[in-house]
Parts: sequence; C-alpha cells; structure tokens
Amino acid sequence: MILLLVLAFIGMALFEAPGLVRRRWWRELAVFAATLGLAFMLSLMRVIGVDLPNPNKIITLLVHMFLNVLPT
Amino acid sequence: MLQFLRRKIQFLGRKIRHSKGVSPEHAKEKVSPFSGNLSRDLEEVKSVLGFSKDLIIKEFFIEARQKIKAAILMIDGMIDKKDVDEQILRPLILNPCLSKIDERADSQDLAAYIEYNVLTAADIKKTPSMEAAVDGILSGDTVLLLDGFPKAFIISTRGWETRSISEPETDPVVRGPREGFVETLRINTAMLRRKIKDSNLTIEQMRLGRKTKTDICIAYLKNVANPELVNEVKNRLQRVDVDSVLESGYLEEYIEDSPFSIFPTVGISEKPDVIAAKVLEGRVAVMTDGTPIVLTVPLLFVEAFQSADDYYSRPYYSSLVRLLRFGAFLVSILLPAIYISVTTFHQELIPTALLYTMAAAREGTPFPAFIEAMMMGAVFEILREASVRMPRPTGQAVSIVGALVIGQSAVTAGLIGAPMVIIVAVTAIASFVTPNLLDVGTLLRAYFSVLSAAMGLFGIMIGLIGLLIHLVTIRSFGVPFLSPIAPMIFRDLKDVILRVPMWLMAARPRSIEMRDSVRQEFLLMPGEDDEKEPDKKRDA
Amino acid sequence: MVTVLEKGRISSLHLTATIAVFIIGTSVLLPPARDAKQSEWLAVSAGMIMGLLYNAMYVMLAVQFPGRIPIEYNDIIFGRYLGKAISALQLWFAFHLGSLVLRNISEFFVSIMPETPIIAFAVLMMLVCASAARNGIETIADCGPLIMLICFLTLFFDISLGMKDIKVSNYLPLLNMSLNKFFRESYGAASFPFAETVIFLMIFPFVKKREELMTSTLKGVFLGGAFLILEIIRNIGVLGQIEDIYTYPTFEAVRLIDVANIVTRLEIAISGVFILTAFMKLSALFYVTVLGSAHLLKMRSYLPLVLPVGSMMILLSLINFDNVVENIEFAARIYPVYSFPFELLIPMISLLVAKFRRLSINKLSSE
Repeated sequence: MILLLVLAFIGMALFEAPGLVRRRWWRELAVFAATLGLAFMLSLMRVIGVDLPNPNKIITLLVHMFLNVLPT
Repeated sequence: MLQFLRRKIQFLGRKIRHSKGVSPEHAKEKVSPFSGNLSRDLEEVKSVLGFSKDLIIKEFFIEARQKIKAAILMIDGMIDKKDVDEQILRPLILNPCLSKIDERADSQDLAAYIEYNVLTAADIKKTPSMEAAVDGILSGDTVLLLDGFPKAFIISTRGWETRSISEPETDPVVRGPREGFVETLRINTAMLRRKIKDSNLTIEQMRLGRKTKTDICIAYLKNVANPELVNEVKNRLQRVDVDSVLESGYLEEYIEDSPFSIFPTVGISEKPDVIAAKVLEGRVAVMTDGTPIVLTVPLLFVEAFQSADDYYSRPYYSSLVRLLRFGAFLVSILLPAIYISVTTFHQELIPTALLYTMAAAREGTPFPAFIEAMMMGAVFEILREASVRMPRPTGQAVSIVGALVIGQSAVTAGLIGAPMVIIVAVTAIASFVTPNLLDVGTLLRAYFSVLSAAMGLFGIMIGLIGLLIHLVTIRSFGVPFLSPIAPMIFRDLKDVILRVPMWLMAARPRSIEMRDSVRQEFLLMPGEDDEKEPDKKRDA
Repeated sequence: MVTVLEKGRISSLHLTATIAVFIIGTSVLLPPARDAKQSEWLAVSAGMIMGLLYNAMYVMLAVQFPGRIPIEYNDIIFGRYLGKAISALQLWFAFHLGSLVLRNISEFFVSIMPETPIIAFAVLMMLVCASAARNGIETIADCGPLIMLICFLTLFFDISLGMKDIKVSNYLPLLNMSLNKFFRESYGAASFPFAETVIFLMIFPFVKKREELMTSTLKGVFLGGAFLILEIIRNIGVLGQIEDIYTYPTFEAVRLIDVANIVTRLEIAISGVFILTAFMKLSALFYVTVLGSAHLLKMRSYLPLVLPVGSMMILLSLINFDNVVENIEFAARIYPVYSFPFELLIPMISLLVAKFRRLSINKLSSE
C-alpha cells in the first residue's frame, strides 16, 4: 500500500514537473512541490494509521458553540 | 501524457535537424536555364533523367526560310499519342505558312508565331527552366525545344490508361448515384464540378511530396466556406514536406488536429455526391492524385452516423435508421463490457429466468467472462482481417471455419459459454453499421471491457465520462468535434438525431462555423436561407 | 486578470445546463429536508424560491465586477489582508464541498458493490473530474446540456413508469408540523443544494453574454429544482412515510418500478444519472478550487495544482465521515449552519459594500 502510494505520487511529480522546469516557472514549481508534498505527507500518515484530525468534527464543534451562544 | 509525447517528438525532431544542419525548409534546387543550343540541351535533359529508356525524343526540322532544328520530348505511356501527332508534329512539320515567315525574323518571333499560329494544342506554357520542363515531361506533358531559342514549350498531352468510373466498394447505397471517384485527379475534379455547376466552386492546386510530386486539389465554395478554414487547410498542407504522398492517408496524418486521438478528425469518402454535399455545407475537400479517397474537413463526430442514403430516401425511415445507428454504435462498444460486469459483479440485475439459463450455459466453462470476451473479440478481429485480405473465393472458407469452429464447436466443447458467442456476434454486426468508426469501436470495446472487469458498471460509467471529456476536448480544424451535441446547437440537431424533411433544412449546419468567429457570417446561403420554402430542395 | 488562467468562454445555454446539473448532483442521491416527511416536496419548493433569491444576489454581485472572480474583488471590498483570508475561506468551502460530493458518490457505489474499497471509486471519480478540470471550463460546461438531457429523459421514464405505484394517501396529511420546523427544513433545502451555486461566482466571468446572466442562472436553478421536486414527489408517493429511513430514497423508489415483470431493474439508469451529475458537480467544484487557489497564489497556470489538490480532496473525502449515518446527520443538522457564512453572509456583505461604496471594476483597475 505504501509502495503504491509512493509510486502514485512519483508518477504525479513526473507528469507535471518536467513541463514546469522547461518553462522555468519556478514559482509554480514551488507551489506544486509544496502542495504535493503536503498531500503525500497526509496520505502517508493516513496509510500508516495516524489519526488525522477530521475537519468535519471541528466544524461540528464550531457550529455547536455558535448555536449555544445564540439565544434560541 | 499526450502533450508530453508531443513535446518529446518535437524535441527529437529539433535535435535531428540540428545534428544534420539542415534548415527546416526543404532546400531549393538551383535553377538551370536552357542554353538555346539544342543538342546540348537534349544531352542535359537526358542525363537529368538518367538516360531512362521510356523517354522518347523526336528530332525534326521546321521548314522556315532556313531550316530550324527542333525536338519534342515525352515519356512513353504517359502521353496521348494521337494528341502529340495531331496537335504538335503535324502542324509543325507540314505547315506551309512557316516558310513564309520573314527572313529577318529572329527566334523570338518564330517562337511566338509557332505558339500562337501553329500549335493547335490548347494548353501551352513557356519556361526557361530545365527543372520545370523535366517536371512537365515526368507529368506526361510534351516538351518542345527549338534550336537557338532558350525556352521550352510545355504542351499538355497527358493521357494514360485509367480505370473507368465504377461503383465504389466502400459505402454502397441502395438509392443514389453509383459512380465513385477514380485514381486520376482531373477526372475527379470534373466529377465534382459536374455536381456543383457554380462559379463559386473554387479548385486550387498544389504539389506535395519531394519525390512523388503528387498533385493535390483543394475544393470549396468560395462564398460559403469559412476563409479562415480554407487558409488553415492550405497552411497545414504546405507544412507537409515529405518524400512521398501515395494516398490521401499520408496527408490525413499530417493535417489532423489530434494526432494522438483514436478518433479520426478528417473525413473520407469516395463518392462524388457525398463530397459535393459536404462542400455545399461549407466544408473543404482535399483531393489527391492517385487515389479515389477524398478528404473533407472539418469532420464532426455525428457524420459517422450519416449516410448518403438518408438524404435520398424518405425522412421517416431515415430518421429511424439514424437512431438505430446511434444505438448500434453504443451496443458495439458497450455490450461485451455490460455482459462482463453483469455476470461478474451485478448478477442481481439479470432477470431471474434469464439468470437460470445463463448460469446453465456458463456451467463448466473454464474462463471468467472477461477472458472469454477478450478471446472471442480477438478471434473475431482475426477472422475479419483474414476475410478482408484473402482472395474473394477463399473468403467462403473463412466464414465457414469461423462460424462452425468458433461458434459451434467452442460452445459444444465447453470452452466458451453460449451467451458470449451471441454477444460477440451481435457486437460484430452492430459494429459494421458505422463503418467509419470500425477501428475506433474495436479499441473502445477493449477499453470498456477492461474497465468493467475491474470496476463493474461504475467502471463503464467512468469510462463513458472519460470518453465524453475526450470527445468534447478534441477539435477538427477549429470546430468542436462533438458539435452540435456538445456544445449543443439545437438548430443542428434536426440533421443529427433525426433527418427532418429536406424543405425543413433550409439553413446550413452552424456547427461547421468557427466557434469564436461570431461576428463573421460566412455560412449565409445565397438567396433562400432561413425561409422555409417547401418547393425548393437543398442538395444536401 | 483571470483571463490569464482561463481562456475559455461559455454560452448562456451551457451555463443554464451546468447550473441545473450542478443542483441535481448528489441532491437527487441524498434528498434535502427529509425531516419534513411527506411535506418534503413543499419544503424543497420553498427552498427553491429562497435559492432563486440567493442566486439573484450572486448574479448582482457578479455584474458589479464583470470579468472578475471573487478572489480578485475580495481584496477591494475587505481590504488586502481580510480579503485574502475570506478568499481562502471561500476556497476551503469549495474544496470541502467537493470532498463531500466525492464521499457521497463513492459511498453510494460501495453500497452497490460492497467488496470494492471506497478509495477505488474515489480515485477513479477524481481522475475523470481532474481531467475535465485540466481541460478548462469549456469542457465542463460543454458536457452540461447533454447530461441535462439524459437526466430529464431518465426522469420522464422513471416517473411515467412508476406512476402506477404512487398512492395519493401518502401525501396526506400535508404540512402537519410547526411553521418553525417547516421554515428550518426549507432553509436546509436552500443551503443544500440551491445556494451551493455560490461557487459559480467564479464561473460567471467566463459567460459570453453578460446581459443574459440573470435569466440563464435563474433558469438553471429552476430546472434543477424542478427535477429535484418531481423526483421527491415521486419518492414520497411511492415510498410513503418511510421514505426518510432509506439512505437513498430515489434509488429505492426506482428499484420498485416493475411493469409486467418486463421493465424492471431501472436502478442502473438512475445510478447513471447519479454519477453523471456528481461528475458535473465535482468537476465544477474542483475547477473552482484550483482556479481560485492558483489566482490567490499568483500562479501563471492552475494546472500544476490539479494533481496535488485532487489527491488531497480524495484524502479528505476518506476521513470526512466514519459511516453514512454521520454523513446524513451532518448534512441535515450541521451543514445549514456551516454554509451560512459562505452562501449568504460573505456574498451579501460584498454586495452591500460594493453597492454603497460604489466599488466596481474601475476601482479595481486603478489600483
């Protein structure tokens, strides 16, 4: 599974990066590398079983806080 | 991915060009003029042509006040001997007026006199360049050289054995003209002209292929076709700098928009009435010497579902048949995939009674449905290829072997389930309904089978969406390939899903118009356009 | 200028169809306002009317800044730093919504094919959406009318074939609930799916004829709403009071169609509609996300963002919910409140500020 993930991300990098390097779009390359790296880190954490924070839980918490503040 | 490949190819091309130091333009040969000395020029021409034995040189004297030596050169078999005899030799040798020419007349005057008063051929050109003269000789013209005159007359005397006009083997019709194009360009252009006797029908000519020097004609209606489109066609054709153009297929691959797509974006036909109809709709036809297949651009996806027959027979049945063709195409690409996914993933979708029969028939067959489908598909393709290539009488044997061995025995032997044989047979027949999409259909069938074996109906749906995205993206000479379905042009659907009566099709299809040239209105038909005139019929 | 990132232009017809399909997408799968029981269709109709008002507001905002996306004019309206923050929030909304759509459609297919892991569906679905988004807005919008036609054809056959199963008594008693609850349910229906078209603020600039923007948008909302309401009326008529206990009521209602034992198992057709509309919705959301982010990050092309953002969207869709009940719970209880700032607050403040301070495109270009 980890191997598959690594292969997929290497594939993505190879798909996009050469064109950016050729056109010398360094800013785009930096953004691409950063976002792809972030995506890879998060996916890897998920695959090896780290519990990622669930944004929906946070949203639910916020909504409840908001509703409690409001007089209903 | 495709862009990546394209870039790679461009890069390689540049590399090769650099390493050889060849400029992108094909280096022009230097022009060598005629000297005016007849024997020297003759030797020169002979050596240029490599002393080929099919070059005929006839030397003779023109009976002017003083005798002038002259010679005609031509290639045996490519000229009309009667023309050469009656229009060139006879007037030149036997004309009594020539001797009355003034003594002081120099070779210029003599040449002019010969051109205007003596030669009876219609098409005469003068050239100082030896290359042009040699080109003329090689194209079947006769070249006349006069001693002391540094120019050559190129007299058109082309005439060679041609196939007579016959009914084409591809797209036969039940009703409609039986004639098809032949291998000679001039006959083909004349056939098109005979269909469209309009002064706006423009036929432009160019020559492609360094070695084959093939004549190419571009035919379009000047006041209908989009000038941008015509220019684009010309530009793309001029880009084609290749050794040989033996068939229009050579050109097709150089001028199409999406070279990596499995869909053709250039239309083909060998029927003059079809080409005339397309030209009348504002398309551009590209005719190639030496082949009866004529190209038309732009091509729309829906053209694969239109047949000349539709317009010649009455609208009700034509509309029905057209819907049937769409259905048949979908069946031909999807049926094996649906069978695979239903038997592998979604047995609950089969009606119960059918499920029992199918389960019984598949009892004991060793392979999963996907392998069966792939095997039978491959066998079918092999049979088809064999029956195309095989001499006609042997074809019978192939079909018997195919039907008996593949159909009957494989099932009896328990190798293949009987339902699969039916599926493959239906698919095969359905795929012949749209002959222009035959190759595409085969590839798509495999693509959908793989997807359905992996992901069931979800895979098929994803495959369809992927196909839709691809079709929406590709263009044919600036026109969206899937137009008028996507982008949707409601007005054009009258000739896509249905075939409405002729008198309702008063406007030309708008899809062929360039998409963003909204300001320019090129496709306005002269005279009647948007009015419905029941008694006036359109040609296409 | 946004034109640097996207060169395609779409026509009014395509906008209408795209909006209609966008609204149908996933809302036909998981219908809104389920707590209203047999009055669900009334609640959704009321929601649609609210949705039309919402959309009129969006178009008015878009007309104020022709040819610009919100990321551009947020800076003008809210100032440089707050504007950036609000842009980021809006992008998060589109991104998160995309992951919810992806989750919904993959979860639906898992319920049909239980042995296949959910990630397989999510990855394949994302793949086609990413390829559509890579090809630009024209490709996405061009698919619109065709998909809409397929949807309405399916609807016609589904409803006419299912007609004989509809019991009128299922609709009674009408409106047996407090007005407060009814309003709450209608508001829920407005927030999902009708006001989700807020993300079209980033697509409006690419429409060719600006003067037709209002009519074509409202037409699209109306068409999508009509489709949804008809499906819901049919669902209630066929399934009755128990409609809301099914996870996928539309699917169940179509599954029940049986005409003389010959025309059965039409759920294939309806799942085709589910996936086509979800494709449309997801690719629009995804496209908006990458286009907006590329603009926020001042990139010269949005293409490099497609793959990373796509993989993150898949990941988010996987960790969103633990099960489908949580999903429905979130949609019914949390989502209406959560979407409030994105769908109403931000656009409304933007519109008011722009109107009162007479901000417009001229201000933008003078900066």
